[in-house]
Amino acid sequence: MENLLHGFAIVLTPTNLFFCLVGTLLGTIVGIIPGLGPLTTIAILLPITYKLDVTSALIMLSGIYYGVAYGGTATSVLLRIPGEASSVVTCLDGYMMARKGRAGAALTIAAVGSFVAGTVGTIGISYLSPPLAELVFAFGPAEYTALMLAGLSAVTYFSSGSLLKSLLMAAFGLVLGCVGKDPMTLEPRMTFGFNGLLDGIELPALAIGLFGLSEILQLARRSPKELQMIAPPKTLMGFLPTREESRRSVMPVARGTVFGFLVGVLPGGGAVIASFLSYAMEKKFCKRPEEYGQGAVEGLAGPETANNAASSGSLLPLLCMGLPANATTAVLLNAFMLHGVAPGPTMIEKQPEIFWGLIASMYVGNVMLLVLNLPLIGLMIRILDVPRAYLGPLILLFCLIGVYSSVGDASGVLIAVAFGFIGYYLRLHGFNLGMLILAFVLGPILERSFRQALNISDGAFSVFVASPISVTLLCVAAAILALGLWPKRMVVADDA
Amino acid sequence: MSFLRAERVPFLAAAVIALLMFSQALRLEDFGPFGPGPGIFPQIATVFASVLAVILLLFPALAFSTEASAPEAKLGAEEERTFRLYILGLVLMVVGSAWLGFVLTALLLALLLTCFAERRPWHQAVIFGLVCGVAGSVGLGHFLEIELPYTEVDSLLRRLFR
Repeated sequence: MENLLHGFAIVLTPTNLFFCLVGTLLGTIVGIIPGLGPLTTIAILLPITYKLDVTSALIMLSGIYYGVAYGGTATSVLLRIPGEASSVVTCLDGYMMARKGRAGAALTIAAVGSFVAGTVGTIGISYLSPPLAELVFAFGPAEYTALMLAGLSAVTYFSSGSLLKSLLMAAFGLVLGCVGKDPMTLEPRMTFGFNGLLDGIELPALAIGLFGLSEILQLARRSPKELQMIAPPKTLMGFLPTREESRRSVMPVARGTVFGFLVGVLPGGGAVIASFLSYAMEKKFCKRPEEYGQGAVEGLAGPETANNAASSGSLLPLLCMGLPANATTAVLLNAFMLHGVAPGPTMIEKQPEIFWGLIASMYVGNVMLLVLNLPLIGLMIRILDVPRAYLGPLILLFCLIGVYSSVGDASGVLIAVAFGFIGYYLRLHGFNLGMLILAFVLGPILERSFRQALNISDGAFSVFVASPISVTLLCVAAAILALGLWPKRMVVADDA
Repeated sequence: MSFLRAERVPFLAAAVIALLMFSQALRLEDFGPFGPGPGIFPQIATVFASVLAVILLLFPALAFSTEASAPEAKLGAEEERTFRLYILGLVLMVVGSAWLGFVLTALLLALLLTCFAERRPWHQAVIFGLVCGVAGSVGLGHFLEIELPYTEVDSLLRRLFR
């Protein structure tokens, strides 16, 4: 509790409050604009944050991450366009509620549910982080290697499309992570003699290319359509749900919070999976399943809560173990490391001001998002009125700034554009790009643990089956992959 | 039907790239006098990638998922033209960042995409490009000291704000 209060003292300074506001506002805007996801935004803004104080920078970047779900809700409810993947389910019942004249109530239920989920999720992180970090201290390099392999297997299992294709993307992510100088011997690896690759492939160039530039190419293929928006209420009273709507949303919010958080904590369990599973669960619990798809309050409240709870939950393995649960948290992990912060058990011990400042900022950020999203949503959603003729070049210029400023010369832009074309081709053939990014970020950490473990054992691979923890984790990884190769596996879309 | 069907092409490309990477990884030492060398992990990763790519190349049916993938829609002449100009826009980003500086790149990008690709009036595109270029070069490059592509044009502009 004392630590958390110290965190509040850090976040409640004018500078940090400002960056928390900027992060949550940007997150909401990014959630509204289709094509500019949190991953690309964090990658673009990463170099801009180099000059900021480390706590302020991380507060802002995390704000973008958890603020996205709020923005995505508004476009789903008012336009039936999911701003980002975890709001797809909201289009079903949220949009139907809006068509019945309950747009304000739908937005309020979603925002309050998201607020409850975000706050409870943050409380969960505050209380679970220290014991989990203690547990991770028991892990040696072999156990850590096994943990990462189990995590990667789980993410692959839950990712969209064919398991083998996802594994192929993960393998290429690991390979690309090896390009450049070996971190231990400084020997150049897999550079094909190209000096521009000696420092390795920069994550912003890879992420912006694969996600930002390839998305622009996809947008360019579609003809721009006129948007038909259902207008949000003009007065605050118009946002109030009825007593019946409030009553019906209480239990889905409670279930979505707990369930979403637990799904988020699991490696591979992101906001998208949580929202889809929550929708299915609510449909099972509901006494009026025939209302689903026609504007059922439960069908909106449950998934909207679950996706926010999962976003918070997925920060737990990142902060306590340094293990990202999805591609966006992988980019966040990279942001932490570039700022000289190594997420994991030592972070809570050695940099408590950053850890607890970040946790406190999430409480504050959720309040900001609630306040921002209800009265201002009508205004913010007008961003979608900006025609592609201006939005397209603007996004390209932001991508250029993000890549050039992180790499420092035009070679980074060349690499990003090359990955833009590769990403576009891979998307057309249904490959999961999120897996590639996740493995790319995890690769160097996995390699370090792997080599440390082999060093300890004098090169004997038996070190990976020497402890019960690593044996269990490796068995879990094998079981997950075997289950994934089973013909009738459940597939949930999650690209980022 | 020939072996090289359309669905095999991405896996063939993946296999070729993975094998090329493997050949590079093989040149590195896997175990040295001080334990595991720089080659051990890349060798394992590239073998893993090569094996997966070859399996999918031989049995492309394994790559199909339960999800129905949307077939690639044929583009109309107008969309095709717009798409090609966006591709050109990406190439311009590379050329511009290497030789043209930020302001000129922004201006040319706006002309290419806003005017030619999206058919907006040229003067709107020029104003939009100039605003973006000046805001970026001066606001981000000069005041926030963010590293951006830089030429004489950018230098001249920044001098005006000193």
